[in-house]
Amino acid sequence: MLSSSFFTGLIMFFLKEQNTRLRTALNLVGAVFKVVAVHYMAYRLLVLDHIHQVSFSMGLGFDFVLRVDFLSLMFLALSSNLWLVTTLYAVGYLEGSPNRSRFFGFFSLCVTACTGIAMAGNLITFFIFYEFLTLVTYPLVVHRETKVALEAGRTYLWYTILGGALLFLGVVWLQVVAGPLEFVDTGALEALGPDQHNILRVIFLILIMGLGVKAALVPLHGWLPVAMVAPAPVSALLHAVAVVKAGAFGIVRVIFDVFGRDFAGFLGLLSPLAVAASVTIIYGSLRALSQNDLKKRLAYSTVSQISYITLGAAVIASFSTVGAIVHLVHQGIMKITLFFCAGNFAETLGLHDIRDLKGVGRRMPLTAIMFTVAALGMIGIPPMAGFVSKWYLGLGSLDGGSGWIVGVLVISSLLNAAYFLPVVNSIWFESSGREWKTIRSSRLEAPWMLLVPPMLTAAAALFAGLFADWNWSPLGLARQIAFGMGVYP
Amino acid sequence: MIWITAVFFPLLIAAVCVLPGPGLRIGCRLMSLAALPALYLAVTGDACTVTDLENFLLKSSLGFGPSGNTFLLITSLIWFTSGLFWALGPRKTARSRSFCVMFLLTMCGNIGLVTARDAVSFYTFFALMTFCSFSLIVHSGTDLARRAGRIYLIMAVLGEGLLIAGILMAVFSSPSHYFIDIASALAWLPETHPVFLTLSAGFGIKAGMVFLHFWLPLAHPVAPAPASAVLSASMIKAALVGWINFFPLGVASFDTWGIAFAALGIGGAFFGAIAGLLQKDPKIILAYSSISQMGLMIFCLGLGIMDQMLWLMAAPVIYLLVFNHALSKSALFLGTAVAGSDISGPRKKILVIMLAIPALALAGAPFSGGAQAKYLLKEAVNAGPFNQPFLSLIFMSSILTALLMAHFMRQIITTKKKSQATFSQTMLWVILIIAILGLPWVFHELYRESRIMWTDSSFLLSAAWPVLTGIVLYLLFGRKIEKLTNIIMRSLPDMALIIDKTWYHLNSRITQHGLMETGWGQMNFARFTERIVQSQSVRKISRDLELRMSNWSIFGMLFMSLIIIFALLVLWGT
Repeated sequence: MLSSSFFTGLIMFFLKEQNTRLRTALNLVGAVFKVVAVHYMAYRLLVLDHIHQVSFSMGLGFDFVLRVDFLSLMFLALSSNLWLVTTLYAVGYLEGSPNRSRFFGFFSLCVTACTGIAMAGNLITFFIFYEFLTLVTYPLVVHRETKVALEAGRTYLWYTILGGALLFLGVVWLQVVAGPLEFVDTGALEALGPDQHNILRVIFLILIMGLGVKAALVPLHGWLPVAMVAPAPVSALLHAVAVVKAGAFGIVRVIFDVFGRDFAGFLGLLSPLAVAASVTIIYGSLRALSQNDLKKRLAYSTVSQISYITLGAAVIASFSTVGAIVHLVHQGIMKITLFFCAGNFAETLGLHDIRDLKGVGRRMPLTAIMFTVAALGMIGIPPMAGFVSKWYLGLGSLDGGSGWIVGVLVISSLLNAAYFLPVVNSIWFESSGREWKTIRSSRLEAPWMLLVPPMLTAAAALFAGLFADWNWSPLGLARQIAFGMGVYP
Repeated sequence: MIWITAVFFPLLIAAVCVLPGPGLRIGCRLMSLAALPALYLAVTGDACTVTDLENFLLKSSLGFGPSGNTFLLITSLIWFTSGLFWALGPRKTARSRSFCVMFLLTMCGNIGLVTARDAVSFYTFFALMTFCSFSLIVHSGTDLARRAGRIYLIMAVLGEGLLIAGILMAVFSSPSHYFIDIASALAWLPETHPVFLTLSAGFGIKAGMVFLHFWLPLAHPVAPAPASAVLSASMIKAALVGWINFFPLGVASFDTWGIAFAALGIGGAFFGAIAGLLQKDPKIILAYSSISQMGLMIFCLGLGIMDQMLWLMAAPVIYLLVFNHALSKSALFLGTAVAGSDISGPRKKILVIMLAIPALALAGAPFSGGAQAKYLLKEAVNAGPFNQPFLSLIFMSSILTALLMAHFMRQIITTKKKSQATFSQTMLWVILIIAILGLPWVFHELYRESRIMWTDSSFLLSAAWPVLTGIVLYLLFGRKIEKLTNIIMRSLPDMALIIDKTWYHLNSRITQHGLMETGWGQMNFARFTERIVQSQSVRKISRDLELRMSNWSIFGMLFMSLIIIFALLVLWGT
């Protein structure tokens, strides 16, 4: 326990370092170190069954609790590993651009916040890191310092601060009603008397609205497509790991560990949430269909995909829980690949518009292959990772007695296909009939630092689906969370 | 281990193909070998050898399904022949690389799906096959191919969507995702359960079931000849494999579905033949003939679904039909590449005779495997309900098939296209045709039900007669038949066009819809709050308030009242 807190402290220490000269080295060392530490904790937790916890009081009955349970481990592993690849990518991407110190400083802080969110052991700790995340991502969004970027940053800040305020209200109210609460596997609110139920319903609504801003639930998703002006690694991180995922993770935490899934269902809170998530899924897909900017299309796709997690959390069935938790990881690795690839197209050939991508598969085959793998995964075509999530979500919704969700999943898959497959088609099978103008030339199709990260994540997306049944695959871990160790569903 | 090799060996060769340098050359050579492990397994393997792949997908299992080695044998044989045919072809260019890789990936999918023993790996291989074959279809890059590819893709995605819904429901209602459990679990479901509808329609798209067939005559012919051969001969059967795996055949009887399948099947058999008569391109005629032949198989399947006892008789018929159709159709498709206007004299005569062999086998002429299949088909129909009307329908469809084949022969003789085949390709094709001649013995060897009755004159006569009728009809009334079919086909809507238009309309509707254009559906907090903060009234109010507050008397009063309230609170608290 001590060693873990020591490591965590050490990691934080590293992360907050801003060193202009040794920045790259430090960044990578920090990232690698963190990955190692997370794996060590994973080993302790999964094999030795040892839960790490640090806590101290902040006064007024608020405790600061850091704890690593299965769910945090999942998010931790995701954020630390993806942070490593994104750092590599960002180093290559921003080569020679101004303000890199500031960028990497906040970049590291952003991941610190993520780690904190993952390890938070109660709502107030969660909230602290959640707000911290809001503040440190703002400089990343406006990094380019253009007018559009500043505008987007302001929109982003408005949305998230309002969301944060709502969340704060909810957290404090809950503390007043129920006293200090730690995250417990089955939720802790069931003990409250029936006279409190209405208050709990309101609190749930407030919490979900607060978290829903970051999780981009329609109609609270407005900031996400706008924030696209950020550099590609930032978008990748925002969409795959940090902000959006933090919101979704928060929703999962609130449903499972604060209210308890069954209790929330008993209060009648989950069906409306499932409907809201379904609306978001369909609406996001439809919007994505109408975008011509590749990154914008990906952004709306995130709006849609992230709600799978909410949807899975909102169905009372273990299969759905597995689907939600595993999609937390799967969506991350697939979406980060897509953003890396979009960044590669933009950075090496200056292509932003989907209509310009015709025939780019012949010029940049590796990037195009990785894009294809991730896009097919997003649609939910086996053997890519996305299929596994959809499979479990589908089974779960049948199990939970809401078969209409299968319809939502299928329609959403069809829509996903409708906005991804034409892109893939034009990348590979149409000819551009024009010369490519290369912005950054290199020996390979793009600098190696821009190629290796998406390769790793695309391979992860493929293998996570291909070997889903392995005990230590994301699915294996998710099953352990939902069913307990070694139980085959 | 042997199962893993059989299924994944094509992937290994595909990996060789993408290697830079001599990789493509070596890969193309090796390509002919890709299906050999599967072929070996199909010949030597027995039903008990099963490989469980722990950790792979959601626990996979590979082995022979309920229909034994039939489908693996056919699949690997067709893929082997087509792969060899391609490898023997003219020198490969850089463009061939993508074809090679995709061909091998599709092969892996097709071999995998006939060996999968669980729903998840089946679906995985099915998807692999479906999506990789898209690139075979659009390989030529012409506008025609592109349109065919688009419609294929739309239908394929729809099919995948239906299938995943169906498979989810099927797996949910059974204790595990293995086919053994699924088939017996589905037997207990009511006939109205949506799982049957989704699975029927989902696979129906792949099988070219009538009403869902329209992508097929577009997509199959535009691919290069070896790809057309595998599409039409082997991949189309994936749907049958799916139905046989999922449906509780021989366990339960579903009247409604049985009749629906039988009706759709017979409908397809008629429709395919009639629509094919209208076409001039030999490859398109063959694609329509595939719809027609698949119709017969679907009809048989319908018999099996209708009555669980009948399945025992219907199953071998399906296998024989599949076998016969697969080999003949691949020979015919490859034949379209071999035949050409530049061949003349005695070589042309030999060629025509050679081509006539698979065409006659398909029509079910005496001394062919087709005749045996048709004979067993009639026996199965005889044992089932509605035997008289069904028998006459089948008799008519046989005549139509013969008509269609005669039409095909005429078109290929008068074709303007040049022959594209090398000498070794032609030789391979000749070997394939000789193999078709030997089919009756193979059938007898594989399925004891099919006896060789070549001395039985009534058997020979019953096989010969629809074929002769068809040929004579075509020779006498060829023009009139064409006119008639023209009238019939004109009255039917062109579904492909409708799909194409729907796609465009929906797409533009959605993208241009008001909902999509504006910021509708999102609350723009940023703009909203800014507007409030910067509005005139808010500014005025705040300025006024500030002015008032700076007035000492007002401030003093506020201060006093605050103190009083505080004191009251303290008093009340204690």
